[in-house]
Amino acid sequence: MARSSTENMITLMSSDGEEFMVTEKVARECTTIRNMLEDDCVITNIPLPNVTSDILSMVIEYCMEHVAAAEKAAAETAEKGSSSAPAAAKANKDLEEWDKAFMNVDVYTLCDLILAANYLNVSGLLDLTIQTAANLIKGKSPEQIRKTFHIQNDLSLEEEEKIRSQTPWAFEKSE
Amino acid sequence: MDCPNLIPGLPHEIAQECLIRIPYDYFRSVRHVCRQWKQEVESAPFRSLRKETGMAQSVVISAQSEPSIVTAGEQNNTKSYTASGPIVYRLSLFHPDTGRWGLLPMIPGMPIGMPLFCQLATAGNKLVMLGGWNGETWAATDWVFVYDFTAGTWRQGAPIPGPRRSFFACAAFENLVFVAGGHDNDKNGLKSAMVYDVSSDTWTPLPDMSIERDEPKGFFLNGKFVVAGGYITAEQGRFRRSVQMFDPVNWTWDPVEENWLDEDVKAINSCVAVDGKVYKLKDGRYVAVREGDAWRIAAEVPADARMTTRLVTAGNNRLVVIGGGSHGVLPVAYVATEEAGKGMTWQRWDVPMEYWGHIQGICSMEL
Repeated sequence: MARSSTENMITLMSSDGEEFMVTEKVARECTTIRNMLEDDCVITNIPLPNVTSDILSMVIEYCMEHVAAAEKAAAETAEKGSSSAPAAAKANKDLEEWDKAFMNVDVYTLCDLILAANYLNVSGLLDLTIQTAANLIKGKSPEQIRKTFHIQNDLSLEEEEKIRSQTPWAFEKSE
Repeated sequence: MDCPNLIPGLPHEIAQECLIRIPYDYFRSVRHVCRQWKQEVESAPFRSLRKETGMAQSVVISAQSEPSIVTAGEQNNTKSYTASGPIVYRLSLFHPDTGRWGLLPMIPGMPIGMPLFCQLATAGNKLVMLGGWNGETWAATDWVFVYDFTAGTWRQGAPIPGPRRSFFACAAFENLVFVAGGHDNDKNGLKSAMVYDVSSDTWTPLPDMSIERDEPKGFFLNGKFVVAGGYITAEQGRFRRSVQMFDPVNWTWDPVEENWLDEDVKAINSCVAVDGKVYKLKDGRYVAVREGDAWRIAAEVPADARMTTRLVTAGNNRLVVIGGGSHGVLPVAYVATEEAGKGMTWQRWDVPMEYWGHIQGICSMEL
């Protein structure tokens, strides 16, 4: 499309000095960067000392995917005059699937992504990553949770014994 | 910060964001991870944060009889249940957001099930079960049992003081459970009232009400404990339309308010307050709401929920109606949301067969 060629490009620089050229639209997905651009519209080179290159490339990948999905939906609406509900539902589902696949990362990467999403203020990514971390806790035993998140068990033997002797949670599953 | 992070590598607020998203039935595991997690999920700010961010889950808890289910053959695909055999009450959970049902663990050492006609109240993350009749002897009890939803455990509380009390009004405000009226073992209506502090496990007497009230209904309205309806000893079953409210700030009973309830005084047990408004079932087919000094019909109960109807509140200013389950109508649960100018909208949930039992006490909470 003609628009993209005329669109401003922004260079984002990771903590380890790698440069990433992105469209302004993609960069604006990060509220932190959007605010910078609004304060100073001629800025084209943004150093991000808190984000490493591998994490930054993932954040950019997420933003590009979501910008593309939004553009596609907007284009369809413009073409047909209104968006068709089944098509919109399918697009949403596709994006959800993409998000799910995107979240197939180890816990270290997940934590780094959470920190980056928080620092760059990408609300969709922050929500996605935090929910993914919460999902890692669901249905796990205390020991499995500790292992997953590298948490030290500081409960005394006495406390642990008390835990073991308590009536187990008897939640019945139903359809 | 002195203490280690809740999740290593993540700031406290973000780790907290993560923990508040975990459904309450996983709390038991979560609180056994380490001391910090335990403190976090047991704290009052954690519960408030879940509510503020919309992560809190609404739960309706009812003392419900175990249905004995009879399947009348695969071919005609009809199922029915009978209430024959010993009636055992247990505590059922209904989740208005998902339609999911479940059971609470039985109280340890209580083989015959929940006491009959026990009262239920919720205080913070705790369910308080008070009184009721011993399922074996049918004698009124002074039992108090507290279920901690975070820990997933029961504990026995200090017994209800005074005479053995049946069919009393009961409602909780924060950590305090207020009890008033009912009748003693000689069927004398009671004026006396008291309050149970769930955190300190202690009872404190309240001043007496102006008149005795047998079978009243209790609820909290604008910070006051309302004891509604009921009848005096000399007028068995002639329910009054008056209420009396206890003001916990001034520690006094306000004067009796006559004609506060509508004419359908027998449906007093359905009276609930949500967001400063009082709702009640009326004439077996309506939900009425009290506005100013008058009652207005807010909605018609859906036709399949008009038998043995129970009304209870749910989070986000919603009402839950559970009904049906007799005269060939299958039990059904509805979640009602009142929208300004639009009236009530009803969301229907089928009730799984395991939860077709008769409901006595009912209450709700947000976890």
